[in-house]
Amino acid sequence: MSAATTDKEFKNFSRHAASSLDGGQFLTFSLGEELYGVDILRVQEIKGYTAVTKIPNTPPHIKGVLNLRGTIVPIVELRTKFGMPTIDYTAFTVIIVVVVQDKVMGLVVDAVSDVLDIEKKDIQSAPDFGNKVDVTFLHGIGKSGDKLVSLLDIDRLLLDSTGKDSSKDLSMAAAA
Amino acid sequence: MSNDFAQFQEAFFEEAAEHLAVVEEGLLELEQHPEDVDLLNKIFRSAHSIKGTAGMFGFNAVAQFTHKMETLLDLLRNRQKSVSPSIADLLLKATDCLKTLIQATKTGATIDDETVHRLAGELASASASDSQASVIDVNRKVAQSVSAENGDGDRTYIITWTPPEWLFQRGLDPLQTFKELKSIGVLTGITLDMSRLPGLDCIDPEKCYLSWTMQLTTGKDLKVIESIFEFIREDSMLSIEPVKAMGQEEYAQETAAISGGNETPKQLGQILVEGGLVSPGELDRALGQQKRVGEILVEQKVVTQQQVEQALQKQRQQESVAQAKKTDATSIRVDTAKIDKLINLVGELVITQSMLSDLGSRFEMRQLPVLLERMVELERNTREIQERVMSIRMLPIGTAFARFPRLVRDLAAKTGKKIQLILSGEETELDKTVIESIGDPLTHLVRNSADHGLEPPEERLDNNKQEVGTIRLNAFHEGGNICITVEDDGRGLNRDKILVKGIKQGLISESDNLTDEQIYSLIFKPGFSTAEKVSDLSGRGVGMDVVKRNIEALGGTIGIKTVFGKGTTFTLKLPLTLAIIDGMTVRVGKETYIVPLLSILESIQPKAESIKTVVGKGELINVRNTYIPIVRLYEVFASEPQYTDPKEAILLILETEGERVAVMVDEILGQQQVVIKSMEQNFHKVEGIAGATILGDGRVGFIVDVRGVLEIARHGSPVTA
Repeated sequence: MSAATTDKEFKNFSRHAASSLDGGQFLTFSLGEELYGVDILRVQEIKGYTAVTKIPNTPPHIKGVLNLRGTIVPIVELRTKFGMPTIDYTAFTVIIVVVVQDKVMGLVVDAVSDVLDIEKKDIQSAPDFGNKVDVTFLHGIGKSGDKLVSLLDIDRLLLDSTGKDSSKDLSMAAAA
Repeated sequence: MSNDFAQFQEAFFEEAAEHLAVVEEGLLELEQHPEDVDLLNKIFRSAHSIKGTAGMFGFNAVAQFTHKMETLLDLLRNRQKSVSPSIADLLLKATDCLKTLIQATKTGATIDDETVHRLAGELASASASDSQASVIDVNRKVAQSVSAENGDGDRTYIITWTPPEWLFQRGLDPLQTFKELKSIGVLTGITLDMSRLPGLDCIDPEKCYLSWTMQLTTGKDLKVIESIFEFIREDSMLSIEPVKAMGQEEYAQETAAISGGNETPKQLGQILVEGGLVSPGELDRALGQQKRVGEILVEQKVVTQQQVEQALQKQRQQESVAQAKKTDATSIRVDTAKIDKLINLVGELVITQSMLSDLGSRFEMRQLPVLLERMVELERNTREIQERVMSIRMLPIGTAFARFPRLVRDLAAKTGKKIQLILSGEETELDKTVIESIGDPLTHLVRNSADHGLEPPEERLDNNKQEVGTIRLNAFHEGGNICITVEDDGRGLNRDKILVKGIKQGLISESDNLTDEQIYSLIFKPGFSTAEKVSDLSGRGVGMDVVKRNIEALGGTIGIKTVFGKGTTFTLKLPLTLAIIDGMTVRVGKETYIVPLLSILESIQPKAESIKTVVGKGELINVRNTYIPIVRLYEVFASEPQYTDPKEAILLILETEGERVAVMVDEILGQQQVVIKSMEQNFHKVEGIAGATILGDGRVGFIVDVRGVLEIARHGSPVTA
């Protein structure tokens, strides 16, 4: 990867750090009945689900890797990551390709729904459920009309899930 | 510092490295041919280039040091001093020091000031003593000739001359004046006073703002000197004062100091101190008050302290990344011919593509043969382009060999042995990354040959060998690989000694029935050394295992051939490139894996009777009377196999680090070249997998890391365990 793109991504990254708490545009997607949001500046593309190659000896939420125009991109299944039951993939199942620092990763989600403008005043910090529910990878909760959107801190979410200590993370999710 | 500038700096470091190599190579050759002026000129030119560019980038430490080297080289070049071994040695040491200096400038590491100063001092004294001699020599000649003419002694005048401002406007040239002065005597100690020079913005290029102070030693009359200034006398400020004759030594020292300093412009502080305007202490204090850019910016409220710290943090990160990359230069110089060919091929590719799209837009079944023909053409184009692009990364291995003449020279001096080094096959091309990575392993091997392999001269003579030992480095292509051999005609490996040592160190047991090959490969075990004493060169038992590991990390192998008393040959077999490997595609259940061809010895479909078990579980396969442990790939990778019975499956006999293992797969699909894609780029290292590649159907396939698979089979994987 050239220095220029890394630089661009770095800017993206730093811009993001401010924007997601300050409000801005979010790409929202659904997992079951729940709605989640990702800072739109972090999304590289959205593509339909295609079969992936499973990586041996990795935690279950690492779905596998995909050839994205010559680059090997790891795919994370968010349902498994959050400890939700898996469902069969449908025509709506998509992979949201996001940029996390200088890494490109894909998230398998049930469906994409919308791009929402959420202002800062409509964002409240993530609720504290104690040990029962792990919300460390939420930036906060956004309101848009009568919808509630959980805004993801994808850096924390994805860098954890590809890090070496992911098994610990996983067991927490399973316990919850 | 802006990015653009950094880019040029990168170019400087690359260029400097090249020039340093020329200097070093030249100096080594110079030792053999001290009279070779062309060689001296070549060395001088390279040193001069380093100095010039270093000065341009403001790397003053480098420029100043190089300048000292250059002064000495210049003397050698002008035959004022002849090349002695001690001078050559000093220059080589200085080259090393310069290398470190440049490296330090690049990485921002701290410099070993003491060594730099010591060497700079040595260089200065080597050249000073010489120039002193030569100046005296010249003086004497002048004195002789003058006294012959006049019968009168020489006198020295101090001339201070401030020419009129209109000097240039009248078409007069101060240089002419100096030439005339020089014609009547010895002109020395010319200093230029630029104090009247205005800022660049208000300078008038037609006006002369300069003045000079100089010393003229001549036998001519004061009037003769004055006559030279005749035309400009009126408007000039001119003083010509005779001084009492200096002691010759004192005088020569002064001239030597001046001749040492007049080639690079001095720094302002230095000039001020020399002019007696400020004391060194005052200067230091003033320099101490200079602030760093960050501090100034913060003070001026352009940026906040925090931002500066972040920037510094980033800078440090970049530095550490740069250091992690070691000395890897990130660019390649490519032969224009290679690029031209590539452009031609791309042209052909474009034509083929347009023919195909033309065909595709109005395709009928009867055109199928045409389509197939075009496809063949496309395939040919693609393959050729691939080859050409790969060849751009190829460099002659000579660049890796270049360091050895010096190394061997130093080793010979250290061990007191007589060693000649013969290089061959330097033009053999291989991938740049491979070249960069084999440098260290090769150094280890050469060092080993010099220290352990070759005998001291007396012992060689006793054994009816030539006094001079030979180390031979050779590189050549063999199949899709490159072979590098390091050969010495020394004492060879002592099989029995290794065996005894191996048993003593518990690496093998006495009952083991080992082949010679296996015994020799013991030297690659960590901690193994048969050297009686640890020398500063080798014998600590680290080295050979590192060599082996490095070579294997590159996807290569290392072999030993040795005859006791006759010599040892190490053969490295390396892939031509790291980006593409030859692989065997194998299938396990639905997954496709690629096994590096280099590690495959053979593949077999086992018979029931050749499979035995130990302790009920550990399976072994009998391959021509050797029992090899079986590893089931589906167990290692926790996947669903088609066959669980070895009799139905295929066993690949693989070799890694001298160990053999039979890996069980469902089916062999074929053999192909695969382009290695990094898993680390977007993910992290996965145990048992060396990398990924894109298969023919666009899916991702994994390249098997044989060593890693073996480790998982033995100890379990880090995640599932």
